[in-house]
Amino acid sequence: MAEPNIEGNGGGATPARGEPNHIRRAIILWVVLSIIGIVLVIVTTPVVLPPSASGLGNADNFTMAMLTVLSVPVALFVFVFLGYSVFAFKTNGRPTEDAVPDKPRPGLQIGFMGVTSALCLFLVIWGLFAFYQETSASSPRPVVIHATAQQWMWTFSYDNGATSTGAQVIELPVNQPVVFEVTSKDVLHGFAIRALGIRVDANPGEVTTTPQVTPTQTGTYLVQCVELCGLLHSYMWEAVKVVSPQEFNTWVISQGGHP
Amino acid sequence: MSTSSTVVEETHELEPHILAGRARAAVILFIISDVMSVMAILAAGGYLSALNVLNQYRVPGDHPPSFVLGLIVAIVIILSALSYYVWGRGAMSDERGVGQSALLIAAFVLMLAATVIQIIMGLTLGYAGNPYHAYESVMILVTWYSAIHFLLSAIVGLLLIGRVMRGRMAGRGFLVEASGYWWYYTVIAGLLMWIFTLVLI
Amino acid sequence: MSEATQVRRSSLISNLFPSVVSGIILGVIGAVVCGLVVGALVQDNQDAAVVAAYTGWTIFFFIGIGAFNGVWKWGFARRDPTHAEELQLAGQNQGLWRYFRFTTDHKVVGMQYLATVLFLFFIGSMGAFMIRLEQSVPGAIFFDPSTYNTIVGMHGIIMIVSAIIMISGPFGNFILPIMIGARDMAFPRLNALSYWLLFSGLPIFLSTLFLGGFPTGWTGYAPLSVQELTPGMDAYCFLIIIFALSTMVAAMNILTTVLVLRTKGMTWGRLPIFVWGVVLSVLLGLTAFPSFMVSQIMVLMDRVFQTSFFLAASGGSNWLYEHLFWFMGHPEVYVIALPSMAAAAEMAAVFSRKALFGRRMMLSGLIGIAIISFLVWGHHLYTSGANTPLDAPYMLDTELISIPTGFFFLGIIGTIWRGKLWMTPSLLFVCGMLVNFVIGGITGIYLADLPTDEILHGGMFVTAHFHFTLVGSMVFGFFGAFYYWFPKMVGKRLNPMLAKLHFWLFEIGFLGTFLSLFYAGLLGEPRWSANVAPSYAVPNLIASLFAILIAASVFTAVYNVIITLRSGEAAEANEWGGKTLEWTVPTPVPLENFEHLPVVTSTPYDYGTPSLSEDTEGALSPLPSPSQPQAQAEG
Repeated sequence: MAEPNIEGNGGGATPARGEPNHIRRAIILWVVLSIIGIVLVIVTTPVVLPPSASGLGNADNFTMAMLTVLSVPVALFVFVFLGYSVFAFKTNGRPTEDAVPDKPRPGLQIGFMGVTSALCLFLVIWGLFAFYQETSASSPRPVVIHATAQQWMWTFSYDNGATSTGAQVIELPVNQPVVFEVTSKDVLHGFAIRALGIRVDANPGEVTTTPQVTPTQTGTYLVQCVELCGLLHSYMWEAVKVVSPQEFNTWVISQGGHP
Repeated sequence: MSTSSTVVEETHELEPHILAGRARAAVILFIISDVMSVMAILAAGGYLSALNVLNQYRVPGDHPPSFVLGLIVAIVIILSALSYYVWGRGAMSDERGVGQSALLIAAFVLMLAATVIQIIMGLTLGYAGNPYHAYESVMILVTWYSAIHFLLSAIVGLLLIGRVMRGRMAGRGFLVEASGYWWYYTVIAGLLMWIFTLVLI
Repeated sequence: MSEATQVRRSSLISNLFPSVVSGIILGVIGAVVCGLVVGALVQDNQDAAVVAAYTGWTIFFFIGIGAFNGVWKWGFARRDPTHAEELQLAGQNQGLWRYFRFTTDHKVVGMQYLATVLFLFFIGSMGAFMIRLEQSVPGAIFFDPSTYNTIVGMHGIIMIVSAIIMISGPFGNFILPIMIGARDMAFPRLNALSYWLLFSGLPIFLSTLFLGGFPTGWTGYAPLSVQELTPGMDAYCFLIIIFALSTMVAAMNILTTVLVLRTKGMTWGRLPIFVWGVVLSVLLGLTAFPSFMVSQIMVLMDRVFQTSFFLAASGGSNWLYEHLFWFMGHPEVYVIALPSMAAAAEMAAVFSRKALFGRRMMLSGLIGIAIISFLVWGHHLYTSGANTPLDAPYMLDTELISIPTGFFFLGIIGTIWRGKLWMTPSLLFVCGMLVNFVIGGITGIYLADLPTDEILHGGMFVTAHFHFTLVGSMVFGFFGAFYYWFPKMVGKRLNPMLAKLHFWLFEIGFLGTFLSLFYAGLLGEPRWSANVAPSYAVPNLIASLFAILIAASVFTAVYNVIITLRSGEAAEANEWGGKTLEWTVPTPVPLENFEHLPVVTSTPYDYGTPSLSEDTEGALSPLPSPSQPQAQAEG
């Protein structure tokens, strides 16, 4: 079975002469792969993320890209050191002796805590700042739309009198701020327009408000329910079109409102 | 290897200080868990009151449970706790561990009475129902939750009475102590919930 | 001749009563009687009849299995049970029947949990494959939306329940008492109770299939759960209440055991990290599960008695449900995570033949996670509208929890680094766990961040995130622990080639499936989609194809277990050269574990330090370190 113990090295030894400096190799691998990874992320993010149709959505997409860039070295730290270990240190079958015990490395632990805390603090500040920016955006005359959720459809009514129910499309004017006030008639629903980067729950008995958002691109997007609301939850989506102000006015009149 | 079953038999019995520590740890952990459930209910009541959704949380006519019955239950459970306490002191200093068993029986009977009165309180709340408003819902839950806890304590008391009658309390002072923790906790939590029903707006 | 037949007949009866068989028989009778009686007394209230039936089932099941016998005897028996009677209750000389009874031996309970966990994972996986089948093409093709929603909800709850118990149940019960040098748990009868409570909940939950299913998914959100659609929802609520009781009883038992039954020399500082992980996890469960239980009591009250905890029209609020649920829901994922992470640490040390790197740092990581986990539940309510002055602090502590988590994984990496790595299936699963956790943990940051959560909440990104953390990390940790402790628990050696095949199929399939679902989430696909929109079709199809690999991995593992049980090689008592106390007892582990309770002199991680022991002549000689456990046998 097991051979007698190694000449146990109580305090942990530095690598013997001739043995490769594993740490240095791993770190070099880590740095190189991180650079490659960061470049890849920067290049592919615009392709992977769906296009956004508002400044808010763009800010969110940028935050996602930034988070991904930061996570590349973090993830690679684990992958590289783990992968390197598996290749460099594995034994063939059952080991016949113990490994050399580690030297205690308080510097590494404190350094790790320092780096992760700094990262964490950065993320918190960034997130707070971005959140503050989006929730404090206020223009005096946004288009206010009341969205009412029920099982399993959305009903919209604009302050200017236009209404839309069932599977009709709703329209928004480009480059004008819009805000949604959301409620529900029965159970919890979730109001989301992914392309604009807004989302808020629809609660029965309460009115909740999305952040104010200004659509910047014309096109057709989706309003989706994102909180499980029963049988036809996954059918509870409708189209929202962002159109020019003239088209919007025409649409408003056709839906019984006055622009 | 020989069958050292005698060694195993000798060493399987837990030492007294371990038995005592075990009982104390168990009842304290159980109490912690129960406290969390009580706090969840009280927090729910306060939260719904603060939200007052659609102004329907409490409508005119929504009253707390009967004050008189609540007062009677409060007095009865305090007496029950006192009775248990005096019994417990006697039992822990008595070498047969039984103390004045009449006091234990009194504590049990009082706790049982509290259970019955609490159930009566629950059955005579006099709410219109269908559906009950949020305030009434909280009152219903608090009333019946208390009833169940009084019942649990009564069952503990009954089992203790059994042991006392069978004379199996020698060296089991920790049972008196641990059951006591649960007993006093039930009384304190019951009083707390009663006060809650009086002050919740 | 007739004497022989008489003996056989009576032993069959004494085998069947009390046992799970008599429990089920009486339980069914109780359910039918209570359901019919209440149904007759209260017309037009199906929920009342159903809940009454469940209550009847539970009470009579426990009468039938003999659980109340101990309670009665505690109070009214003429004398305390003798040692022989305790051993009888612990299943002595009962062969395989002891697994079907209210048996108190922690090893029996551990095996019962293991069998149940494997069974639940299996049917939960079948649910998963049905989900992937439906989502492989747009439209609701294979299942109608009601069935699909029920499948999603059942998959969710079955997997969550399994994940909560998967380490603490089998290994917390079987291995932990031996690891601390005890003969059994502090409360053997309560141990059996916690298992049978879980068992009794399962038929209740499965009955939802005959009562119309339930539409809410695993989170059971009100007021959808209060809508009077079908009585199938009651099964969910009742299961949760039973399961919460089971968990709280088990938690109290494990905590008391570790508090008072550690053997001589087993100080808190010498406790194996696995024990710490389980202890912290059950402490979280003990304190967090009561609010879950209260939430389900309230839902049942709304359903059966027409109260209005969650109905806005009469002053209730769905936000109340969300708070009660997530106050449990967040610590709950750490209930799942901590034992798995701690088991991974044990395996990392054993299979690297090296002491844990930064053991105290890792321990403070576990404790830090446990404490912070109570403060973060609000991040599930970022987009609820339930405001929000607290959103910023919740974001802060949610991000903070990544720091102690990082400590812990740094410790595992540091242990593996420069170790002598024995690439067993267990170590493979530990490596897979690390890789998957990095991805899962990092994507958690996206969700923790307020602005990005706006676009990701309620979408498949969330689903992929929690599958990466709970399945890719914690279930991988379970399988690592399964391959690690199976030889000790069952006494046979699982086929390592099949085990490695299980790992690779699972990991590749898992990465393919859930990375695709991350992408679908980035595109904006919502969760719970019976009907996948065409714009999300491609990633969903890819995910479903990779899921076939996961299915293959499940069947590989099942095959491995079956052939090993039938004709596997016997395993050694210390199969891996571990140093914790369970490796010092023979396999199969005898009743009451130790002939003499051990005395512990060091942590179980002193690899690489020469250890000394007296031989019969009193001379000191170095012993091979891999087989020298942390304790010297007494005397």
